[in-house]
This record gives sequence, C-alpha cells and structure tokens, in this order.
Amino acid sequence: MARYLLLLHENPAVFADLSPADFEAIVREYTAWSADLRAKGRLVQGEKLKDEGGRRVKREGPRLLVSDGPFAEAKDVIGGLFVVEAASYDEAVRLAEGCPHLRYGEIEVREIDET
Amino acid sequence: MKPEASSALELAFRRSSARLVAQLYARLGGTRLDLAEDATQFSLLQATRQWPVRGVPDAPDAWLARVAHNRLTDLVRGAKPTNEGADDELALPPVDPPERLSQEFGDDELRLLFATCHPALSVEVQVTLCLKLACGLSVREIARALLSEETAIAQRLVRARKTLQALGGALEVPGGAALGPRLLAVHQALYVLFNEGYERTDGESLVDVSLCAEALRLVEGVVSQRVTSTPEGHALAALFCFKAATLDSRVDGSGSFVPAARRGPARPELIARGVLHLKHAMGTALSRWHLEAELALIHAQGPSNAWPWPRILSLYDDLVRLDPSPLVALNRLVAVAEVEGPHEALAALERLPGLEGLEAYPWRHAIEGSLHRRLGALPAARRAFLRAADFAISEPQRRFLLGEARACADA
Repeated sequence: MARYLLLLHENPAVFADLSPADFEAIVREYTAWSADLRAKGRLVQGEKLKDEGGRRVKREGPRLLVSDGPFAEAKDVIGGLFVVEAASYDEAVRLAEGCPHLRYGEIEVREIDET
Repeated sequence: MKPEASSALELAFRRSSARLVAQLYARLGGTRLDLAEDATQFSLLQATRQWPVRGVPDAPDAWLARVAHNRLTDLVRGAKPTNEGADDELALPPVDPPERLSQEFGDDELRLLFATCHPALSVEVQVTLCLKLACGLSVREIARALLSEETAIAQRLVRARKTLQALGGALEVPGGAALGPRLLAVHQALYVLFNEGYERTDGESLVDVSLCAEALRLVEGVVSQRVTSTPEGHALAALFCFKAATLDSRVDGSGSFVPAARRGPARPELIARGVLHLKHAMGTALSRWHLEAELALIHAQGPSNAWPWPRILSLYDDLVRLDPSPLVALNRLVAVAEVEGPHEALAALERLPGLEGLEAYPWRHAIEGSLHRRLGALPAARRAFLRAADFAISEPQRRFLLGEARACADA
C-alpha cells in the first residue's frame, strides 16, 4: 500500500449560485463518499483549505518576494486535499473516480514518495 | 454516513437558510436584505466545502449561524454607504450567535415573510422573492412551481432585489389594514411552498414532507400573531392540515404514486387540527383557501368512489370564479367527468381557455388519458398517458404514468 495525495482543484465561481437544497445534496454525496473510504480504512486524512489569504513565496536574487492571495478571482484553486491508501495509481484513480468533487472541479492524484 | 448526521443535515440547510436570512435581516434593523442573503449564502458554502472533509459538526445549525453572523460583521465593516453624506452608516448590534436556531416561529421570520412581500413589487414578484428568501426554495423549484423558466425567475429576483435596494432605509412592515395586501402574497407563497412538498417537481421522490411541514409551521406562525391572523390564513392552515393528512398514503412502500382510489386512511390528528383551524376561518367572505380546504377534506375521507361528486363540482365552480386559471379549470374537469360524464369532460377539455399553456403539465395529459380510457378509446388514452410521462416531473410520477399507458396497451 502506498499513500496518494488527492488535490481538489476547483473554480470558486461554480459554487456561487447554488441553493440550500443543492448545498445539502453536495454535502450528503461528499460525506457518503468519504465515510465509505474511511470505513474501508482507505482515507488517511482530509483537509479543506481556507479560501482567503493564500501566500506565494519566492526568492528573486537576494530578495524574498511574498505575494498575497486571495485567489478569489482565479479560475483554478486548490480547495482541499485527501490522503488515501491504495495499491497502485490505478486503484487511487478509481477511489478518486467516485468522489463527487469531479462534478465541480478536477482532482490531481499524486503518489507520496516513500522510498 | 451515520444516520444521525444525515437527519441533522435535513434540518440544517433549507430551514436554516430562511431562518438565518430572517435573523441577520433583523440584526441589520430591517435594511440591506442583500447583505443578510450574502452572509447566509457564504455560511452554506463554507459548510458545503468543509463538512464533507472534516465531518458534520454536532450542532450544524449553530455552526451555520456562527459563520453567517461573523461574515455579516465583516461585510458590514467593508460595506460602503449607499448614499454619500446620508446617515445610512450601517450600525450592527453585536449578537451572540444562538446555540441553536429556534424551532419556534419567531418575529424575525414573520418580518421577513412580510418584508419580501413589499407593495413596490407586483404580487407575482412578491411571491417569487418570498419563496426564495423566506421559504428557501431554489430558483429551479420556483420556476417549476410557477410554470415559468429558470432564467425568467432569476432575472425577476435580480430586479426585485434592485427595487427593494432603491427604496433604501428599513423595510418597515406595517400593521393593520396596510398589512392586508401583503397577506395575499404571503399566503400564496406558502401555498406554493406546501404544494412543492406535496408534489415534488424535482428528482427521485414524490413528496418532501419537510417542505409541507415547513409551510404548515409558517402559516400557523402567521395566524398565531394577532396582527396577521385572518380567517383566510386559518382556511389556508386547514387546507395544509387536510392535505398533509393524506401525504403518507400518496406514496407506497416502494416510493410509487398511489392514485386516490387506492389510498389508505388519512391521519386523524391532522384532520382534527385542520377542523380546529376551520372554526377560526368562519365569518367572512369565502376565499379560495376555504374552497380548497373543503375539497381537501373531502379528498381525505375514504376512497374516491365514495366522494360526493356534485358537491365537489360545485366547489370547483366557485373556485373557477375566484381563480380563473387554466389549472383550476383543468382540475374541475375531473369532477365534470364524474357528474356529467367523460364525454362532456373531454369536450370541455378541448375548449378549455389557455389549454396550450398547460402543454408541459403532465396531469393535463393524464386527465385526457383517463377520459379516453373511460370512453373505451384505448389507443388515444395510451398516447395521452405516454405524453404525460414525457413531461413527468419526478421519477415515481413517470413510472406511474408509464404504467397507466402500458395498462391501456394490454387491455
């Protein structure tokens, strides 16, 4: 078993016009998916990232450049992450396949290098 | 998901949404409905994105209230005054978000119901805004219920918010006689809300008991307050009780639609509750709610072959006079078929004013199908039921209509 990182990419604007009933449906679907993975012992960790205030840090010569979020206007933001256990990339992709997030954005699957 | 988490969710979203808007709107002193709405939407969005990953909190509604109140504080700090120099600096009293949103009908909710039904808007727009903000229906649900398009409803809401915005200041809710015109729209909105639960326009299930319960809770809230209690309101409450009494029997164990002729008994405690409301509904001119309440009471009693059809027809005759909509005229034809015969009903259907507007309404075709069937014209009946199924608005309804079509083919 290896650990895989599922990065949840999304466009924040997708969520802007949803109704309470839509929200409820999303939470229900999502929670069912994560509870299922947890029950199978495959879900290691899940985190939602804060929407506001991201920072980007880089060095340019002697200077440290820190640029500010928020990324509210960006079309592609990482909104959260899951860490799952899977035997292979194929299996990790299959786990991601059932994730309701795919209706609202993309999932980037990366294996955590433990060698 | 654990079942308790699921039922906590049921409570949390739709109901909390309307209650939160009401509460925040009151906290803003009855101004800036838009901010109350934005902050509520924000908290639902946060929940939607955080709960799946972190788990549903123990008290979901308190969580939503805390996030919404904090967001409102931020929004008000950042909000620019709408008119330069005017004393419209928004003052926001500090409030501790409640531990739980009250299940009781509160003044905030009453105020929001009546604030959205502002006479600067047409009654149609008042009803739409009330359904969206005070009842928590989605644009899609409102569009289906009002036989309109989603884009049209969305635009109507945008215009309504702008109109209210332009009025500025607090949207005072008047008392006494001035409240009358608003009551009309409030009653209509609650009627739509109830029917949305009684006959879902969306998805897998045929009924949504929580919407019916919410409509009943709101109308009983309205009639429980001295200033907003009217005989019409009590008649509407009676109507809800009688229809709610048959909710369970409209759907069988497998989620399929059960036609009136095969339904089980109504729930007696709800019938009794409705009768109590009817006692307070006496003493004025008959409203359409009075007529519909009596129809619903008849429908709740026994199988349809024992119903007093001449009385039903006469109630529909009165109803058509009060509400000359094609929908009421269409439903009247069911009684015409029983009293005067299917041939007369079919002829009346063809002459029905505004029939073309009902093309996408499944029962318009289902009624036509059952009339053909009674006249022995099975191919025509089958075609009509298939057409009805094309326009079915829920899965159980579609299954039922396809079953009717199949029965015509097999016979």
